[in-house]
Amino acid sequence: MQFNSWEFLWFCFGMLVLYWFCYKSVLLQNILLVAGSYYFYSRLHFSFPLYLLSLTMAGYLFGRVIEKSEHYRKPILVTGLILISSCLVILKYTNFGINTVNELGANFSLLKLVVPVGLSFYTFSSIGYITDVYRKKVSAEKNLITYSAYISFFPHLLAGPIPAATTLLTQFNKQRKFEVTQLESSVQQIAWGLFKKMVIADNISISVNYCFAHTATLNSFSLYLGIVLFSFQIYADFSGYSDIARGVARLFGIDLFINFKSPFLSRNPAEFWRRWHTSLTKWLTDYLYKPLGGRTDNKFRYSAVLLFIFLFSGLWHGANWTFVLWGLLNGLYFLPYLFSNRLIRYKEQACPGKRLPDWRTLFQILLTFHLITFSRILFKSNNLMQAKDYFTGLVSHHSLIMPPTFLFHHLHWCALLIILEWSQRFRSNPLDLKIPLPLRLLAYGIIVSLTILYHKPLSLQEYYYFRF
Amino acid sequence: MRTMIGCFILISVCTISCQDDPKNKQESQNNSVVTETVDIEHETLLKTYPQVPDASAMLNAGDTGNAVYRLCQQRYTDQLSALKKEADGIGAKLLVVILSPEVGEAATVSLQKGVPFILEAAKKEGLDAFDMTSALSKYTPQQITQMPKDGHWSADGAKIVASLFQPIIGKYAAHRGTKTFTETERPKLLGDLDPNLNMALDGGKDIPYQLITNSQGFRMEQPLTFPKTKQRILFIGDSQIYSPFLDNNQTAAALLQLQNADKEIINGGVIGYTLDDCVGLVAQKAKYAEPDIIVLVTNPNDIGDFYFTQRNRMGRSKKAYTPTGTELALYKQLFPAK
Repeated sequence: MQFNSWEFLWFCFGMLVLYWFCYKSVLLQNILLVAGSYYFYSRLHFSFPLYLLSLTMAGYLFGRVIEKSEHYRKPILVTGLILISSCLVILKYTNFGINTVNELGANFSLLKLVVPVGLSFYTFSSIGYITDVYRKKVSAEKNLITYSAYISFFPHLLAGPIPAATTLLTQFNKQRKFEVTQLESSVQQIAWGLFKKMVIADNISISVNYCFAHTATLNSFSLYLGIVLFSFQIYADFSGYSDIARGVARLFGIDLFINFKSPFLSRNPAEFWRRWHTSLTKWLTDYLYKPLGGRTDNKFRYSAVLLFIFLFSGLWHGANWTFVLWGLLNGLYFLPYLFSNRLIRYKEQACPGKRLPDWRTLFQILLTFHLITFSRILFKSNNLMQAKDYFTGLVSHHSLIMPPTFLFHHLHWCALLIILEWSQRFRSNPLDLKIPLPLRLLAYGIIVSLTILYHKPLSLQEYYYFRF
Repeated sequence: MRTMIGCFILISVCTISCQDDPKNKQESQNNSVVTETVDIEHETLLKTYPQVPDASAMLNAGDTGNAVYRLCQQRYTDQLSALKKEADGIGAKLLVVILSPEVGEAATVSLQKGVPFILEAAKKEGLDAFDMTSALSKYTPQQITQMPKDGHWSADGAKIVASLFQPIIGKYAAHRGTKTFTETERPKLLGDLDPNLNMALDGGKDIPYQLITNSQGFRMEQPLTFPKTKQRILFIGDSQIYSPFLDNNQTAAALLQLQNADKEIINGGVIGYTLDDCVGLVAQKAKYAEPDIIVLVTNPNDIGDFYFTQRNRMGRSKKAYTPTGTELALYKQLFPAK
């Protein structure tokens, strides 16, 4: 059941009616959320809810035991972390290990393992939860139903945003109230997310695949367009999913993390990663970066920490050397900024009060976009050989032949996305307009019409980030 | 505020400027790019009888299966005759070429039974027929198709197919059609694909390819001009000549065009077409392209394609094909209700 399907629409509608019907009882609402979320998850594969249940039980029990324990908190935490992450490690990385050993000359057979969609997301939220209990940032949740609702909440179950117990768990303990004022912002967010997913990401995807399948014959300019389009595809896909998730969650009175904050307007890689998949960045910061020492005056030590974090992030994204190198490359991007003392921590959006960026900002934005975009060749390639071919083609296939025309067909959507994000960079999303209601409705109508008119037929494609 | 209004004007401009964007044309499951109309009875039949048996399953289904296969053979013969009449009407030479990527172990009972039947049917109509299946049998499917992802031609397979076509078209280099049409008689569209497409497709099989159609609805880049100055060869048939999963310039038709600058090679293939579709295409549109040679690219699957469920699913006319009693009996036999 995907967000852009009729099945999901009906499921959501039914859930909302029942949910707000029992608005007086938090327990009933949570029971409904758990039941609905497990049903939602079981629609992907009957076995998936078993993994979810196991990790939920593990997280709940370890949380309780850590809180009660006085002397063995750390060993219990470590045991919990190992146990909770073992499922992800075994299912996702065993074959990667076998492949790597095989490449060194061994000949082991690969195992037929099914990695449940969303496993890495709810593994991370469980790890975050027991660590926060250990650090006494949150109290261990006593009610199993509440904890289950928090972990399995279907809008964030498959591809995040990775929930943080410190902000989200408490919301499942409180009475939720239906507020009409929230309705508009929810629908607005959902409409914008659907537009990005169905019009931009889905339409671009085959053109990008075409470029990656024809690296030998396409010229440098075509390959450049291909990778730029992939950058937009993955952004529209993942941020579209996150927007829909936030919008749907808000309909249930739950506020999820803002996962994307116009990342393509970033002025350096550090700013990009604070705006891209922010829930993962926050998780990595809280549970890895800070424990490892965080930002220190020793630039070499700081660089080592950064590289480790990005390597870890790469491995989280996929069990493949392409992801490892992708992570490493993104870590390396920090070093010139760091050693030239230009790793500025921007605290607000670029050019406040200005309609257009100044030349310096524009250069910084374009440079950051291209650094990130070129690293995506590794992200998209199935193996290192394909990535090498793409890089080689990009730098050496010079010819004046025009790229396939269809590659240009998507550029106006990408331009529209960037223009809208730039003009609305101080608001929560491009449809968050401070104009009279009739004009707002007109704007929503236009976005919905565009989605209906220009969505890719038969576009119930997987969301790109489901695979992670 | 002004910026916002500007953005939404931009959206409106996008809406208007993209109205003819080809990517929004209906793309069927098989990736053919043909605008479709809807008929209620047709839709009902599609929903009631969704399954399509392959010809081999039909032939292995005992007496009922054989009876239905004979019925399909009769329809095939009738349509071949109709196609010949259309070709004769414009003085074009109709050639029948049997082309199938089913080689080696992939060769089915349908192929073994169908090839002699098609050759015999062509002979009865006085048509020149060529069987390429034996020439292709020395290759493995992996050499000439996109296996294991798909059974259609690979780029290498298309090169081999083009080399097999070359002597055939060379043999009829002197033939010219007799009929010409005026501009008022000639429809705007001469082929069945949507015109002016330039898009990437992948048929849901992760084998992306580029489809370009000319302004007349053929899978070629330049429009045909009139009066013609070169011999014009029209290829018609199903996906074997349309060639999904290959870029335009990799298809057998495009390779033939490269090798034959003195001719105009027209790729009029459409995924899923069988003979009655080809007859309709030639009669209503393609004959106005004034072809001198019409090459019908066919294979034994085209016989089984006359089964009513396949006609309802893939037929060009989108009219309802109601089943005969025997067809219905076979359907119930092959797909018993759960």
